[in-house]
Amino acid sequence: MDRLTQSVLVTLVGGALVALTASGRFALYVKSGFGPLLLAAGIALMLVGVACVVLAMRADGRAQAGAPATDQPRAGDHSHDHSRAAWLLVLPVLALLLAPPALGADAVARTSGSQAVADAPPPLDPNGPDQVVTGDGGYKPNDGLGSAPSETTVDGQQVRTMTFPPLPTGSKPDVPLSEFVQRALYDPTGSVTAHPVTVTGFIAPAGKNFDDGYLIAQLIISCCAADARAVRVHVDGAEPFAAGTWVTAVVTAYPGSGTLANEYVPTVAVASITKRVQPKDPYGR
Amino acid sequence: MDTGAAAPSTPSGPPTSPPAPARRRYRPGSLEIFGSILLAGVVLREPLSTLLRPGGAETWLTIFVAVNVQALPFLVFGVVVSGAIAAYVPASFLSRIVPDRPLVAVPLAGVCGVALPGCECGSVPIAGRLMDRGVRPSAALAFLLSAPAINPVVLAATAVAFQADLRMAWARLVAGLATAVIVGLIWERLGRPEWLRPRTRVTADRQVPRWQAFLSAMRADFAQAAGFLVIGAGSAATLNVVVPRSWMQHVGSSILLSVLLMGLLAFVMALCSEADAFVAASLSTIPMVGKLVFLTVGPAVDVKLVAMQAGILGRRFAARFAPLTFAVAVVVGTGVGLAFWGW
Repeated sequence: MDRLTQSVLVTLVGGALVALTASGRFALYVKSGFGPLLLAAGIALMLVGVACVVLAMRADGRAQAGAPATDQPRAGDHSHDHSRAAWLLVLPVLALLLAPPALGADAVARTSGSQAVADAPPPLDPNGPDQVVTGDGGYKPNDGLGSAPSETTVDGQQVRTMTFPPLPTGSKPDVPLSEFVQRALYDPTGSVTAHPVTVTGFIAPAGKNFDDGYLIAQLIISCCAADARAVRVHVDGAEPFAAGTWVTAVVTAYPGSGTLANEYVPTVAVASITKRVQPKDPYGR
Repeated sequence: MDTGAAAPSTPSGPPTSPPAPARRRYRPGSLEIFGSILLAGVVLREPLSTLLRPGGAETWLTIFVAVNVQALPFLVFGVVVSGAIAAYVPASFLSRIVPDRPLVAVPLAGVCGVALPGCECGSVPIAGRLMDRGVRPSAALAFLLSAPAINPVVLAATAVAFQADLRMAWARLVAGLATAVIVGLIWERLGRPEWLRPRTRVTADRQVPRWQAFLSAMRADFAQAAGFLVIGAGSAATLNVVVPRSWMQHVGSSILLSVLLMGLLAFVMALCSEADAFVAASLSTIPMVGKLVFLTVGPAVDVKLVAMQAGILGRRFAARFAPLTFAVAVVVGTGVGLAFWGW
C-alpha cells in the first residue's frame, strides 16, 4: 500500500471513529465512558490523515514534475512505508458498514457463568450439597452496592448475605438487572422477594440449566464486548416474545430459587411484561 | 501471507525515475484497489447485512469490531509517542541518557514503563522506534513489557476491581516489573540482533521539516500496527466465540492447574490491560495466585501482541520472544502470588 493510500485509509478510519461516536453507536461495542477517548483518537487520525494526503500529493506532484531528487528517502519513510499489513485495516471498516448489532441472546449462552458474587462463598443451597468454594476473597462487587457478603442465620439456617441500601421509593421501582439478581440471592430482608420491582433486559432461551421457561437477561461489560458476561433471571412458562426482544417486566423473585445446580439464576414471578426498544447503552453495569 | 513490510524494491507508488509516459501501461495502484474494495462494500452492504443472523457469526463480528474500536485510542496515543521519538528525539540524546551497562539500563527501562499510560498495543511501535534510535534492544523490550503492565491507569483499574484486597495492585506491580526486567536481561544474554527485523535506520532529519517527519512516522506506524491489531482482534473474537466461558468454572481451586489455565486464558483472550482486572476479579473459582498469573501474562504476551510483534519486529523475533515471555511471566506471577498469598 503506497503512502497516499495509507493516508486516505488513516483519514477514513478516523472519520469512522468520529461518526461511530457522534451517532452513539459506539456504545454497542465498548463501554459508554469511552466516548471522549474515541472522539479524540478519531479527530487526531483525521488530522494526521488529511495532512499526510496533502504531503503525499505534493511529493507525487514533484516526482511527476521530474524532480526526483526531492523524493529521496526521507525521515519517517522506512521499511513499512509500503506495508501490506495496512490492507488489513480495511476489514474493520467494512465490518462497520455491516453495522453488527449489540451482543444479544446468542452471547448469553456463551458467556453465562455462576451468578454467585465472585470470590464470596456462594449462597448456601438448602437443597444441594453444602458446596463451599475455597480461594480467599479479594473481590467486592464493583457497583456501589453495600458491603461484602457475611453470614447470618435466618430461620435457623445459615445463609450468606449482603447489606443493601433500601429500594428506591415508589411502587415497582426500577432496579438494574444485576442488582436485582444480587438482591434476590443475598438480601436477608427479602427486598425483591417481597416487593415487585421493574427490570429491563432481553428475552433469551432458558439454556441448559432449565427444562423449560425462558430468561430475561442483560450483558455486563467492563471495557468492550469481548469481556461481556451475562446476568439473567429465569421465568416459567412460554416466552411471550421472540429471543432477543427487549422487555420491561415487573417481577418478584422466588426465595431460594437460585441454586448451585442452576448457576444461581433466580426464578421470578412476572406480573407484567411489555416490549420496549433497545436502550441506547444496551450493556449494564 | 507475508506478514510484513517486505518488498521494499517494488514500489507501487510514485516511480522514482520518470518513466517514458507515452508507453506506460495502466496498472491499478493501491489507491484504485482500495477505492474499489470500499465501493464494493458500500454497494453490497444491503445483501451482505441480510446474511447477518443472530448466532455465532454475528457475535463474532460484534466482538471483532469491539476489540478494534476499544484498542484504537490507545494505539493512536502510542503512535503519537513513537512518531515524536522518530522525529524529534535525536539518536545521540538517547544514547547519552541510556546507561551503557545493561544491568543498569534494563531495570531502568522497566521502571520507565510507569510513565506511559496506555495499553499494550501502543507500546509495540514505541519499542520499535526506540530500537531505531539506537536504544539497546534488551532495554527497549523491558520497556515494551513493563509499560502496559505497571502504568498508573492499569494499577488504578486493578485497585478498583479488587477493592477488598488491594494487595492485588501491589502484587501486579511487582510481578509486571520483575517479568519485564528478567526477560530483558535474558534477552541481553541470549538475544541476537539478526532475529530482529532489519530496520532501515532513519538517519535523516535532512531536507524534510521535522513536523513532516513526525506526520509520516505516525501515519506509517499507525497503518502497520493497526493492520496487525486487526489480526489479533480476529483471533481474539474467534476464541471468544469458540471457547465457552463456563469451562473455567470447573477448574476448581487447584493452584497448579489454575496457574497454567489462567496463563493460557490470558494468552487467548487478549484483553486490554486496562480491562483484564475486572475479568479476573469476576472469575469466582480461581485462587488469587491464578488471577495474578492472568494479570501478569496478559499485558506481556497474547495473540494480539504476537501478531503485532511479528509484523513490526520480525517473525523470527516473535517466535523466540513470545514463549520466553510466557514462561517467565507464568513463573514470576506464580512466585509473587505465593509470596503475597501463600500456598
